Amino acid sequence: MAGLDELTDEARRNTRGRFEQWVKNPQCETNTLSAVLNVKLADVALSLGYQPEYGQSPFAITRGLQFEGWLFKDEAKVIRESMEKVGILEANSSGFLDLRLTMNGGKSIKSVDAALEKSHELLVNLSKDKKFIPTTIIAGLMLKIPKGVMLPEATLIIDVASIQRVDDEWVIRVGEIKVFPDRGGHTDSNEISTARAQAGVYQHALQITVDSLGLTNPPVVSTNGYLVFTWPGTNSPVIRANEDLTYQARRAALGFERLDNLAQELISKKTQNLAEVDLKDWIAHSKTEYKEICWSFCDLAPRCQDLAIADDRAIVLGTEASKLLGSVSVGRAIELLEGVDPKTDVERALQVQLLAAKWETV
Amino acid sequence: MSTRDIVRQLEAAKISQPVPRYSTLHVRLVDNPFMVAFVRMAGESRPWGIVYGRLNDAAPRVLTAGDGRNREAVAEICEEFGVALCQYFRAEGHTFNPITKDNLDTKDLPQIWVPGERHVEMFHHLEYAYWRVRKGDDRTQPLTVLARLSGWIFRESGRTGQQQIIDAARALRDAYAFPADTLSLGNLTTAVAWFKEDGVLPEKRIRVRTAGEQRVSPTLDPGLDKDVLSPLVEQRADLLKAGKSLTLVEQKIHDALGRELMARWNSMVDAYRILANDTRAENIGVEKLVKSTMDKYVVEFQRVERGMLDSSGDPVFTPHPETDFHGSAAAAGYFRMQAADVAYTASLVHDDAELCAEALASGHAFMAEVTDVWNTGVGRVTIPNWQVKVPIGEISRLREGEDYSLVGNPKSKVSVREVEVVDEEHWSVHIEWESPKVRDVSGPISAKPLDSSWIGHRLIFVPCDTSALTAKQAQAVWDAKDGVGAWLTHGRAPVQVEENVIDDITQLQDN
Ligand code: SF4
Repeated sequence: MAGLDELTDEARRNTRGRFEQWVKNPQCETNTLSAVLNVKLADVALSLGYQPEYGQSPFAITRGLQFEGWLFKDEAKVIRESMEKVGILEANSSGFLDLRLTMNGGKSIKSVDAALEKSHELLVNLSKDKKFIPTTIIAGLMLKIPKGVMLPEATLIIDVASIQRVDDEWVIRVGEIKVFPDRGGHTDSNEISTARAQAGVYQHALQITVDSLGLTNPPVVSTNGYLVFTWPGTNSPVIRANEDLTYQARRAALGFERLDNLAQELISKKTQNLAEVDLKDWIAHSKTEYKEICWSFCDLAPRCQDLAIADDRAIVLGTEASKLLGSVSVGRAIELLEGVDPKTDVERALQVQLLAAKWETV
Repeated sequence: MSTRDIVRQLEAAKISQPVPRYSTLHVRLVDNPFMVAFVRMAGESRPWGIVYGRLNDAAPRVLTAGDGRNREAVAEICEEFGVALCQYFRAEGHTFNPITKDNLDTKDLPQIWVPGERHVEMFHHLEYAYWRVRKGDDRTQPLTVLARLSGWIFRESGRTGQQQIIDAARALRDAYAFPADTLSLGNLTTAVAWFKEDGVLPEKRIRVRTAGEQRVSPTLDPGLDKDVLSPLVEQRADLLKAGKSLTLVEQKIHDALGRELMARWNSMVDAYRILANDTRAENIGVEKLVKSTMDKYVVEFQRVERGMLDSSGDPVFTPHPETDFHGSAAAAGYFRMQAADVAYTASLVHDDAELCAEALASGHAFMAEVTDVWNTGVGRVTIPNWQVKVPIGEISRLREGEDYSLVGNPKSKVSVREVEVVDEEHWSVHIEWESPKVRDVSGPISAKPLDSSWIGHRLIFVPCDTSALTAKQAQAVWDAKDGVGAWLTHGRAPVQVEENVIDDITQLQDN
């Protein structure tokens, strides 16, 4: 039987991205395995002869890095000003800890291990040293999530975190940075909910990390997070403070648990050692559950749509049609609409609904 | 999406072609509209390139900046576009013949087409980019006017039934049912391909999908960015650093962006032609929607521009791009939107059998057989009354005190006085005619409401257009500033205003 411990070190990184990918279609085994085994869907698509489409534009990547660089420049001057303005930090706050890797724009941290060590040190110091004066802003706080979350262990990097003294306790708040423009009441609600969900993953991960350290006087992980966006067309940050992450964190907790169970279940079915398994082939030939949303993230969408077309499945007409038609094919639904005798109770019920909506105009 | 929509989808799948959704077209197709599409650099919100022009122009104008992050270069193309747009809209200060309350003619509707929703949003980005001015700045210079016009276009795009900005992909989705999922139809090339590609399902699906690989959103394909544009932009930066000529590399960037812009342009033109070649007539209610669109344009945009031209530096109210910042403004805006919603169906339903059938199925309209006709007027006053028998449908929203119109007679108004259950299948409903009382109304017959020959006829009643009433509520919100609770509804907004910026909320409160 295969074991999760066989996964590579690389598989322990990028936890958040893989979790968010899985959440988009948790019913699909292919998607689940891709997230758990950290095999990119783009690579699986290529192996099946489909040209992957997704990937970030180099302009978008540069813009993201520039924005982050600007926020954290000069001891995080820009983001600090905004945080103080919205009350995340008190006026005249100070101290910036940059734990970003040098490859990601950081100044001094060269390796994941070094970042993990510094992050761990900070959490421990917050707990035990009464006189410890922590930095108020941390970029790239890196967490090693304990075994049992997706993989034997996984690392997760928090975009930005802030520390404040509240009622004699150190309180850490997490923030998610996104370069997309905040247009007030017109901001794309999908973008906001994605950012909020991601901040929820941070909050949950930080909480379980702190819990797992068994500290005597642990810092409080606030359920209040914040989202950092841009003022349209500029590099000025717009901060949405006081984002209640309670439910997003709960969603992350439940999601991780479910993903863990699924991962254990799927992987335990394999009789070989994972090192001997052709992972792409395994993923490519697992059960799928094609949906409209697949087009927003999965490079296998054309392939899964091809299968749906070949089977004449109702999903080719969209989610609503798929809900109404269930397992009845499009061709069969057309026949029912034309009045052929239904063969099953399901068909009979569907025919009643379809004919009721096929009125003649008056 | 209703079951009716899914039935239409199945009908479309049967013939491998989109099928009409309604009996009439709900959009005014002006003869030679203004069309525009944008492209932008990933991560940026301002345009990197713009294609614009009139439908019948020999060729549209294609404008690009060498680098989409260069503010000056982008402002230059936006300014040229802005001037053309303002002239087309006959904006105050940009023409000798601006559209005003006095010369307003629905035949002159300025209409702008864009390929899809993301392009509509680009107008909001343009508003953000050029809206701010500092004290003493000339607020009538082209970029600032473009910002205000863009803001107007963006806000108007959200008003149900407006006829000024046409999202081409949406116009096709509104007019036809496709044998495809809605998500894919957000891409205009996909929607257009359903009309252009031959063949039958399932092969046609694959061909349509392949055609839809051409993006039409303002954000370019990451592959194109990576393989073509990013190397060119880097090359341009190197040349700039070395002080060498940029002409050649900028031409290459222009060509690459131009191809993308033209793909978006061509899709829009295709969409227009598909609708123009449709044999369905324009719904007679569209004229009313056009009139209301133009009225709003004059009141909410032109009036502000007139104020800008006339003002001697005094603040003139312009809406903030982000939000209302004011409870009363928000409430009034809400009522105006609600009025537009009501007016939309009420205007169109009288001339569209399919829409009427939808209203019946959803319980918003009802069918009734006239069983009695009598007069309750005294002396020379006529007040026609009818008793009608209404089948109890699965869904019914019929309530006492509500107003309806007889279908086909948008100006007619009857009021439901009493609803009584006759048996398990029928209600007996007493309705009173409010208008007309003595003139003919038309249906299966044409007669005065008091004519007993209506008895026995089955008629459809649709919701009355109560939008004028709702619109009045918008005004009432403002009028409440001296009433009880004004401290709550008209309190000053707690905004921080940058010292050197004339912030619009200040203007709003001062006016
Ligand atoms: S496209 Fe296919 S493989 Fe990808 S998530 Fe959807 S169903 Fe799963």
